[in-house]
Parts: sequence; structure tokens; C-alpha cells
Amino acid sequence: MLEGLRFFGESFITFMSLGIIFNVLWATQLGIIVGMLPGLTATMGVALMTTLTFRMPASEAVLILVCMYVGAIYGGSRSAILLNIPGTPANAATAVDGYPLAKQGRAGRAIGLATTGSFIGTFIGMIILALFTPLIGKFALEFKSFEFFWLSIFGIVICGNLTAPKDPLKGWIAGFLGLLVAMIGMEGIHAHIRFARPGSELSGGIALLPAMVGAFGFAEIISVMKISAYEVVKTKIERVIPKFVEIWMHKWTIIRSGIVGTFIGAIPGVGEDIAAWVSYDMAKRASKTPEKFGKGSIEGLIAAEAGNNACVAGAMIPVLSLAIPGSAPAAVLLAAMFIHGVRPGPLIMIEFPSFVYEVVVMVLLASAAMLILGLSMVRWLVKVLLVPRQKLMPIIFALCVVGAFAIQGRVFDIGVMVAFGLIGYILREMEYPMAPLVLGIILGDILDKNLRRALILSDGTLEPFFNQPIGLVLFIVTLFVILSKMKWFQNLMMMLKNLITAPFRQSKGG
Amino acid sequence: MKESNMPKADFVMSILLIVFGITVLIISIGMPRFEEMDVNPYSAPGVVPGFLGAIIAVLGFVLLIRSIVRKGFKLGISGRTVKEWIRDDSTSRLMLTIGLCLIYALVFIGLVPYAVGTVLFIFAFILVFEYRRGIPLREQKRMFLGATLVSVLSGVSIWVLFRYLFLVNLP
Repeated sequence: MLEGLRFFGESFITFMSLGIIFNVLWATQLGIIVGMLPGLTATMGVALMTTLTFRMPASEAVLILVCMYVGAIYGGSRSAILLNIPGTPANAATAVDGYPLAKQGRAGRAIGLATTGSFIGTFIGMIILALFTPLIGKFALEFKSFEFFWLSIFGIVICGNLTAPKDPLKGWIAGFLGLLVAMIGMEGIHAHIRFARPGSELSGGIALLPAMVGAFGFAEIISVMKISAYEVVKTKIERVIPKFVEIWMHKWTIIRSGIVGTFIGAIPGVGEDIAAWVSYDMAKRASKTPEKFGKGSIEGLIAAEAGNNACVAGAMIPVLSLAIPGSAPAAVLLAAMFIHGVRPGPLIMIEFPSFVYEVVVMVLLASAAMLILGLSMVRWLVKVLLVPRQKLMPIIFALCVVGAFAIQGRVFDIGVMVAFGLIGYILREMEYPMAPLVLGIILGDILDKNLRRALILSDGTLEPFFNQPIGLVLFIVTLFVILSKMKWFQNLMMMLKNLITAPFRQSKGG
Repeated sequence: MKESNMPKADFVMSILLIVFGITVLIISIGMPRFEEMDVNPYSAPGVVPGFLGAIIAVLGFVLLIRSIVRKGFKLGISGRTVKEWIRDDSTSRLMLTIGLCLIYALVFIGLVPYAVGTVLFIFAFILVFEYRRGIPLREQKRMFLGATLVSVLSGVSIWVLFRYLFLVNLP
């Protein structure tokens, strides 16, 4: 603990230079703009920024990416409030109460409260990140092939379940397709080339970044251009800086949403959008005035924003401790860390012990910049929303093309980007979520190596997969997640519940 | 996509998934097992892709059954529905976007110098979506000027940024 504080202090001092603070400010501001513009998501922002920073030193580049991430998730609240279009999917819950507030002429107040809620949410997430990452890292040192196999299956199943709540089957299909994408190219045990001709470009495998730029960039451009134009609410923006009393009144909502958001962020692949909805839903259930939700409830707005921003810090917990992303933008962040030579994972506290605390300081700096920038320049920034999409989208596509190409200098990667964009668009239209697909591409390698190693260790018997405590718990939870979506299982559970509670009800009645 | 069309889409997709899953499984079984090198059979390259192919085929099968229960097999494709789809405003926007982007990314890149291709693409994109039919060109001067300005400024900045600042050898 004391060592942690020392690392935190040291990192904080190293980051206190004018150059770095300047980087924090422009990257967060750019993040806010990216987040604000419908069609530019946090994932796309972080992915494009990775291509722009890959020649910088590791800590500086990761700092800029973290600022972009925090800024974009927050920035999306602006268009959610003013346009009723969430700037990023993370802000869908924000729009439910933010837009009615703007229509009532309270846009400034809504923006101010969303900013403060986001800041406190990120702060709570940051504290949990600092406390839990080293603990999970130490715990993960115990993981063997059996545990890693179950962890990757668990990640895909729970991610598919939560990102496609209406139809988890499609979430699971997307996840397994992602795992299969990772199988293309040379495998890690015998160096055999799978699903490609030796010597062809495809034999090098499909790189994560071009695939993500396609699935989140190009696919998004197509979706945005397809719909009719949007209109900005014409409203006067009055006082933005919120009163302390207003924040204090909602302290429990903010703290609850912060904690819930962080833990949802830590679940593999489950990102800010789900964190915001769950926080929103919990706030509604706990509220004294649930009828106001959806009609301009301050409580709902704050819950959604604190939840989605806390999720950012939460998503970094598994990135650092297990090398498994907690959300789609965190997947890009993870890829960027590998590009820069930082190897996150269970060994991080041994190999790069100060890095975890450096990331904590980065989150702190980004959230401070977000608070300052978010509460100032509000009127000026609204003008960004007036940029017509037909002028913006071709520029973004040009950046997607050059971004996909720049990292490895291969024209082939442009083709990968385009292919993933088209497939991503079609899958999205059919309501297949993209997050499990991306998680699958990352987990594919882990699954491949560990399943085969585990089978070699067990000599083909399946027993050791089920008789180790951690593996068994992961298996039971995975099974429960799948079964919980089936009608017969839900009915069975209801019957059991009635059976167990019946004697108590009878004795109460008697 | 309309909610009512979803079972139809699921029906088509499920068949594709089953075929895809089984194909992957067959290719995986055919992968070398390095038996002559006395390698542990469980480390063969085909084990995991085969396992994944089988799971995708099973999930596809579940989707197929569900779509059949929801009557997704009645595709209802006729000349009229196709015509309606083509005439829809959002379809033309969709096709134009995809077409322009594909021409730029797959034809222009590598064929014309990067900066020229990018400026042309951005200019064409703005023009296609802002040009108003039936209004004389003279009255659309501002639009042409705007498109030229935006495309030249942004195209050249992207080129300079990547070529000279990030030292990327652009195609």
C-alpha cells in the first residue's frame, strides 16, 4: 500500500511538466470533440489516435490515449443533451433525461451536472483501479492454462450476454466469430499457417487495429450517412457551473453509480454503454421520484454520466492485470501498449510495477482536464455540432484509411479495414454487437495456446478443467450466464424460489 | 432494419453460419498433426479452430430453429419489395457512401498519388451529397467553393501530417 502511494507520488511528479500538461489539455479537448460528434465514437478516436502517436515515447502516447478515451466518453453527453443523439453509444442513457432537460431550457444546468457527475465517477473509478489492479494481478499469477481457458470462454459469454441483452445468442455468435478471426495466420506452438496460403499477406494474421478502425470507423460512417440529418436544439445556455448543494443532494447516486460503473467496466468487453444503463436503472429503482425518470430527471442524468465515466477506469483494471480489455476502447489501448513495448498482464507488478500507478495518474489528469474544459467553452463548442456530416465523414474516412495503413505500412491493412467495415455494418444492422467480436480477436490467441497446453497437461482428459477451484467457479458462472437466458431455466428458478420461500410465507400468514 | 424483417435475416444468416462452421471444422480436421514428428496430438493446429467451428455451427443451428419458429423462412422477396428498397432515400445514401469509400480506398490508393486521391475523394463526397438537382450551377457556387476549400485543406493537412511529421511512406 505504502509502496503504491510512493509510485503514485513519483509518477505524479514526473507528469508535472508544461509539455505534458499541454498534451493532456489538447488530447482531452480533442476527445470531447470526438465524443460530441455523432458518428465519431471513443473507440474510433482512440484507434485513430494510436496511429497518430505511435512514434512517441510509451508513457506520453498512452497518456494521450487515456485523455482521448476519458474526453470522448464524457463529450458524448453534450450531443445526447443537445441533439437527443448520443455522441457515443455510452451516452444513450444520458439522452433519456438530458434532452428533456434541454427542451425545458435547462441545457446549461444539465451540461454542468453531467460534467461534474462524470468527473466524480472517473475519480471513484480511479481509486478502485489503484486499489484492485495490483490485487487482481497477484491473484492472476496463480492462473494456469485451465484457468486462462475458462477465463477466455467466460469473457466471450458474459460480454455477448451483456452487450446484446435482447438477444444474447447474437452476442455469443459475434464473440466466437471474433475468436475464429484470431485463428487466421501463423499459430504459436508449431508455427503452422492456418486459413491462409504461406507467403500471402493473410498469413501474417489480421491485425487488431485495422479491424477495429473498420468495425467502429467505416461501419459508423455508413450508419451515419444513411440516416437523415439531425437538428440542434435551439436553446439558450445559461449557468453551467453547478451549485454545490445540487451535487451534495445526489451524493449517494453518484457514489453508487461510480462503484457500479467501475465494476461493470472491469468485466471483459462490457463497456460504458452497459455501465450507464445499469447505473441509470439502479438509480431509478432507488429513487424517491422514479416517475421523473425520462422526463428530465437530474438524478437519472447524473447516474448515467457517473456510471459511464467510472467505467473507463474500471475497463483498465483487466487491461493492466490480465491483458484482457474491459471495453472496446480499452482493447485499442491494450493493443497500443503492446505496440509501445509495455506488456500488461499478471506479470505487470513484477516487470513494470510503476506503470499501473502511472496509468492511475493519467486517469486523474484526464479527469481534471475534462472537468475544467467541460465547464468552460461550452457555448463555443456547441458550434462544432453544426459541422455538416457530409463534410466531416469523408475526412474521417480518409483518416481511417491512412490510420489502418500507417502502423505497419501495408496496403493489405486498408483492405482489412474496408472488409471489417462492411461486415461490421451488416452485422450491426442485424443486431450483432461489435464488442464481443473485438474481444474475441484479442482472446483468440489466449484461448488457442491455453486450451492446447491444458489438453497436453491433462493428456486429453477433461477432469482437470473442472477440479481446480478457480476454473470451476469460472465454469459454473459461465454456465449460469448461459442458462439464465433460457425460459425453462428461469421457470425452474422461479419454482425453486417459491418452494423455498413457501414455508416462510405460510408461517407469516399463519 | 425493421423488426419484422429480423427473423428473415436470421434465417439467411443461420444457414450461412452453419455452412461456415462446418467448412471451418472440415478444414481444421484436414490440418497437419505432425504425427511423424512425434508431437502430442492435442497440440495439433486444428484443435482450437475445429472446436470453434463446431460451436459456430451449433449456434447457427439454434438460430435457424428459432427463425423457423418465427416464420423467417417466408422471405417474401418480390420485384416490388426490391424496387421499394432501391427507391428508398436512405438506400441511395447508403450505396453512394459505400461506393465512394470503396473507390477511394481500393482503387485510388496506390493508383494516384496519396494527396491527390484524398483531395479528390473528399471533394467528390461533399459534391455528391450537397449538389441540388434542378438548381442552376451559378446558384450553387458557394457549395463548390466550400467543397474545394474543405477538401484541399483537409486532404493536404492529412498528407503533410503523416508524410512529414510521422514519417510514414504513404502509398
